Parts: sequence; structure tokens; C-alpha cells
Amino acid sequence: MAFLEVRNIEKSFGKVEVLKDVSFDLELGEVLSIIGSSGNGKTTLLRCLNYLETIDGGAVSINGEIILDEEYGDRKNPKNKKISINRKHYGLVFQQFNLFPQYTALKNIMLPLELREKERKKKGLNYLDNKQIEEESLELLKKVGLEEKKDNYPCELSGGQQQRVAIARAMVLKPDILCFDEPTSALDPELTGEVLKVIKELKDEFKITMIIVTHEMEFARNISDKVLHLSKGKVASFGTPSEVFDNPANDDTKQFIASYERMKNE
Amino acid sequence: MFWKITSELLNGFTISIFLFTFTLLFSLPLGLLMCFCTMSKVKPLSIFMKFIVLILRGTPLMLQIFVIFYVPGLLFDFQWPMINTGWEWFDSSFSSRFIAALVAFSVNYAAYFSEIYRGGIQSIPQGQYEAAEVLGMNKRQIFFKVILLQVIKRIIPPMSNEVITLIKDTSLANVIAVTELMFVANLKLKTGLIWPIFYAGLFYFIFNGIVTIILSKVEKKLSYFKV
Ligand SMILES: Nc1ncnc2c1ncn2[C@@H]1O[C@H](COP(=O)(O)OP(=O)(O)OP(=O)(O)O)[C@@H](O)[C@H]1O
Ligand SMILES: [Mg+2]
Repeated sequence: MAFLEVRNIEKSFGKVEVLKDVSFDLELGEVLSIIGSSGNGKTTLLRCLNYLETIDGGAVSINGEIILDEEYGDRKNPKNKKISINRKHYGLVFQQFNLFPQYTALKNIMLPLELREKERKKKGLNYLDNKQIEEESLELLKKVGLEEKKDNYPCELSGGQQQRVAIARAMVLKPDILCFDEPTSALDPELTGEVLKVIKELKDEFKITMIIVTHEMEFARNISDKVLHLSKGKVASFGTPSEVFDNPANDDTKQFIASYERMKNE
Repeated sequence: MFWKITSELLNGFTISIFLFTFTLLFSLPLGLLMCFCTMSKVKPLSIFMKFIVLILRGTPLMLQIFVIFYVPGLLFDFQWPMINTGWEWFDSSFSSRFIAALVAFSVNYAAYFSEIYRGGIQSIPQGQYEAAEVLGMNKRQIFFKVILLQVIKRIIPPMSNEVITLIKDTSLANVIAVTELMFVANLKLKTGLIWPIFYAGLFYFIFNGIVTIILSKVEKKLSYFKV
């Protein structure tokens, strides 16, 4: 039994089948990159995992416990209530950062934790006080190298800095798996490096399990334990970076890698 | 003579300010309620409310004042209540006119406000809701902790326009003999005195200025972030 097991995920928008029978496994501490050309369902897959879309079929389990199946989408089903509990397995970093503009960098990170601890206090569970919340949040801000920007508002930060704050924020509830949807594609080329570096550090120093949708092939090859090529909503290839990049068995993947190599050489 | 007329105009002005203040007090929350109705997933409710808003915005406020003051009495024998406040400038026979005007203003402005609220809420990107949602917030927390202040910031400029317009619109209440500032000035005009109407204009102008300054202060307060 793998840590994360994704089984036969199906998803359609109306008549358009976007995900077809998507399955893969991921072990604790592993980094998975999802690659594929535009419109092949990468974002949709991440959104399904994060309960932002309802799936039509399939299931997801963590440590053998089912955390998503098709019944989760049905609002009348009691399982739907579990979404808020199961969500805590994931953190999600968006392409467009989506920081809350009215809060400082530090407050952006603190807010989710504050709200959760308030709930815990109400329920009579042990909880963190404001000072502890601030300390933990500041610690995360340090991890992404932005301690000195703690009092700055998002509009005062560069895109790369905003994304690093967003990464820290996604980690504040201590998710099991950190998901990224093209974390650098909204950034100017000269800013992608700092974000990729932070992600690399999270892997090297903290062994965080990650799923990264990316168009940065070199980065994917370097950081990943597993690579998944999604083509027309199907898993075309799934394996180690060298299996997928160097000798892909699948024709779609061959083509995709070849066209990428061509683009790089031009 | 000057002081006597000043005091008469001031009495009228007090009524104008009353009308202005209470209209805002009622129409701001009522507008939010109407906005939630128009955005409701319950189709009949949303269609009904959209229709009401369309009518309120599509017909003259003066017409609505007449309708609200006269029609209930003519059709249902309903009289707007007379309240005894004990204030001499606000006698009980007058209060029914004032209340009718207040109802007309409140409902009319609520319709305008509801559209502004709706525009504001819909202009917040979906990504804000989704980011909050994946961070474990529930609907109430998302609205109050994440969305509301952004909406307020976005709607302050169009709201300011409406509020300024409302100051001037209070003069419409004179059509059902609410003795607000315009009504008093008009009485003087009918006796052949011209200057009080200019004097009244000055009252409106100064009040406008004060409100404008307050609103731009609020706008400035929220300028520390961008949406
Ligand atoms: N809410 C939606 N309603 C209808 N169709 C959608 C919706 N979201 C995505 N799609 C469709 O699903 C397909 C997959 O979209 P998706 O965003 O998952 O692709 P992607 O691989 O992330 O692409 P990109 O690299 O451009 O981000 C596309 O054809 C898209 O048009
Ligand atoms: Mg995408």
C-alpha cells in the first residue's frame, strides 16, 4: 500500500471528458511532477484532488484511508461534510498566488491558523495562542527567505516574493502533501529561479511530499522522484524522471519530449 | 429678518439631514439583503428581486414618492402612521408624510445600492474564494475575513456618488409637502423673496462638501492595499 493512492479518476465537464482513468501512487516524501501540454487536464487533476471540482468516478486514499470518491461530490451525502476534514491533507499553491491583498505577508500566513485554532479553542481542544501562531508563521516566512518582508502587503511584493509567501501559507496547516499548479508560469523569467529554489529546499531540507504541475522540464527532471505525463486526460507515462524523459515507451510522451527538446534547441 | 429666515431654513435643513441619515441607515442593509436575493440560487426569488430592482431603478424617484404616499390610502385605506415626537417642528400630522418619503427613499436607494454591492461582490476573483476554501475556511469566514473588505474598497467610489446624489435628492420630498430645506426656500420664493433659495443652495453645497471629505477619508484609509 502506497502513501497516496489515486485510482481511476474520471472527470467530465458536460460532454467533454477531461480526465480518463487517471491512477498513480506516491510514497511519503516523494516529489511528483505532472507534465503535459496545455489543456490536457493537469489543473483539473489537482483541483479534483483538492475538492475544488467534484469527480465523476474513482477514489483517492492516504495510508489506505479513502479521502475522496464519487460520493463526495453529492451535496446530500453525509460524506460531503468530510471534505473540510479531508482537505487538511493538502496544501495548494496557485498559479496566480491568490494572496489576500488586505493582509500583510505575515498575516496571510497566520490567518488560516488563527481561524483553525479558534475553532479548536471553541471545541475545548488544546490550541495555540496568538504568540505561538505568530512564531510558527514567522518561522515559515523564514523558510521561504522573506522574514524581512513580514509587514509588507502583497501589492508591495514582487511576483516571486508573493508566490513564496503563498507557499509558506500553503504549509501553515501542515498538510501531508503540497500541491503546486504551475507555480512559476505567472512570473517574469528572471523571478522563476527564486521560487524553484524554495521548492527545492522544501524537498531537500523538509522532505515534504509534493505534487507539482509544471512546464519547467529541467526543474521537473531534477527535483522529481516520479514524473507523470498527462495526455488527453490519460496517464501516458508514469515513472522515474529518466524513464519518462530519456526512454519513454509511450508514443505521445515521446512526441511531447521531442517537441520540448526541439524548442529548447531553437 | 435674516435670522428668522436662517432659523426657518435650518429647521428645513434638519429635516433634510434626518431624511438623508435615516435613508442611509435603512437602505444600506436593505440593499445588501436585496443583493443577496438577486444573487440567490432560488430562481423565483432572484427573478422577482431583479424585477423589483429594475422597476425601482427604471422609474423616477418622484413618481415612487407619490405612489408610496397616496396609493396605499386610495387602494387599501392605509394611512402612514402619525408619530407624536413632541418636537414642535415635527408634528404628528407631518410625520406620516415624512415616513412615506423615508420609505420611498430607502427602497429606491436600496435598489441602487444592491446593484453596486452585486458588482462589487462579483468583481472579486474566484481565486480568492478558492484560496480561502483550501485553507479550510467556511463560507462565513470566507465572506467576513477575506471578501468583505475587498468589496468595501471596490464599492466606495460608486457608493460615494450615490450618497452625494442622495443629499440633493432629499429635496424631492417637497412634492408631498415634507417641510425640508427646499420646501422652506420655495415658500419664501412664493412670497417674492429670492435670496433664501440661494442661501438654501449654500446649505446643500456645504453639506455636500463635508460628506465628500468624510468619504474620501474612508477611501484613503483603505488605500494601503490594492485589489
Ligand atoms: N470549469 C470548466 N468547465 C468546462 N471546461 C473546463 C473547465 N475547466 C477546464 N475545462 C477544460 O478541461 C480541459 C483541461 O483543462 P486544464 O485546465 O485542466 O488543462 P491544463 O492541462 O491545466 O492546461 P494548462 O497547461 O493550459 O494550464 C480543457 O479543455 C479545458 O477547456
Ligand atoms: Mg493548468
